[in-house]
Amino acid sequence: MEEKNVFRGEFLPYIIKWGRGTNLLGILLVFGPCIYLAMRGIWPEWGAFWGAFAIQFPMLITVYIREPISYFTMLGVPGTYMAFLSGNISNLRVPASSIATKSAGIEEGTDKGTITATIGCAVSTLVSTAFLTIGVIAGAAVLNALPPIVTSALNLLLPALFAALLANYIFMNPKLGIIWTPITFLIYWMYLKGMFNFAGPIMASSLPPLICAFGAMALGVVMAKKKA
Amino acid sequence: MELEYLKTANSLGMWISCIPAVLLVLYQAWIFFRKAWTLGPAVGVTTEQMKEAARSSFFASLGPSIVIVSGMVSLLASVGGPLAWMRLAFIGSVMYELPAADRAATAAGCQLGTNNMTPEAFANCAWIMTTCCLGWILVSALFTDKMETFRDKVTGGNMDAVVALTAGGGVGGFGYMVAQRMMPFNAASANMWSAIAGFIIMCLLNVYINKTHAKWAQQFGMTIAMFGGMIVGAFFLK
Repeated sequence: MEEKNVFRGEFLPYIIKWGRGTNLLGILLVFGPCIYLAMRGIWPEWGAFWGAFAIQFPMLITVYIREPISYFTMLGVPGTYMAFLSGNISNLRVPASSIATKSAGIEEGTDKGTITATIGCAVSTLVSTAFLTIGVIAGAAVLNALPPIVTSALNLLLPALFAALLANYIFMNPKLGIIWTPITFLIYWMYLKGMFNFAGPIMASSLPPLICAFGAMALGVVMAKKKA
Repeated sequence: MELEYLKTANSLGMWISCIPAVLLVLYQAWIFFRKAWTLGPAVGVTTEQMKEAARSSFFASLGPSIVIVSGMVSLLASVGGPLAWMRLAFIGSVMYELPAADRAATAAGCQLGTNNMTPEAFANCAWIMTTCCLGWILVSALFTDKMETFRDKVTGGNMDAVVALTAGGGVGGFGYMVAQRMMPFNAASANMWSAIAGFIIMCLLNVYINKTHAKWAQQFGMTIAMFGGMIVGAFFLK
């Protein structure tokens, strides 16, 4: 019981207090470049701003809600604050948290798993920021010097990474994985065939991943509760 | 010849205005890391396990970080170094930032990376990239703690259900992402083969890990599957 108390009584309150604080501060700091340009008297033409905003914002509005909820179960509270402040969630933060926990031999989603996921997510943040900084200083020149075949090959890391993660989650709960993985393919096939078009242009692309994630979570919980 | 608007975009002032946000990301990661490291043993995680976690996430982060940096190149050429650096280290992701900048430039009647980009059009890019990322950070700042409460309610404290919820999120989320990269099926698709190879390698490694609990496989498994998948896929590149 002692372990639970430290986690719920000390760790989580600290993370929530500082996570909320730093993320809210982030909302101010992200305006840095806009403020700098404004100080130099450079403003956007507001008609153009609203024109682009009207296209971009509606496309993202469902993503704002869907991503935090569906990645939360894998990232935990600290990981969610960190991942949404630093970005690159599915391609870096989730894999790093998951690998950290798995390699320590701990079950993901548990209190102990949240500790290792925090460590994994933090380490990945330090690594990717260091890489980006080196990359931006070394400049496009070095990266452009890479032969095109290398750049195309690098783009193949992501499908392999997503598939490897899928394999891990299937092994975590084989019964659920074997039932649900074909369903995700079926749902994407239905999307390709235009079967979600009834939901309108924005929801048509958001609905299928939502059904996949929430459907699997619901089925997982129902199966676990039935067993208990 | 550097384009006129990129002189503003790459100016020292622009760098200075971008640094605080990136420092905030590092600061948050650092204080969370320290707290987890200090309280870990009291929650029942040994120092050895934490070291293992740090080490494996370090190695697993290398590959995806290289991909992020290579994606930064296109953004770098379009909006300059500081903004590209800040937006990819802070909330952003290449797949959202480049289209956002492109739409902002088009709406201002200009084209990214060309001489017809005006300083005002560049400012439009900065404003659109900034305002359109606020949703993520706002939702995470305000609702993360509520998600924890909600999860506790759904699972009723049943540990099997908590783990099943995580597995469900993973299978549903990544299953769909893999489907997106594999369909419509095409036997010559490099994406499809790298996904299949990554999947098979990870499955084999999982079987091996369950049997032997081999440390190297736990630590490097994901990295091996990722690069293995890439190499297999590369044979199908045209």
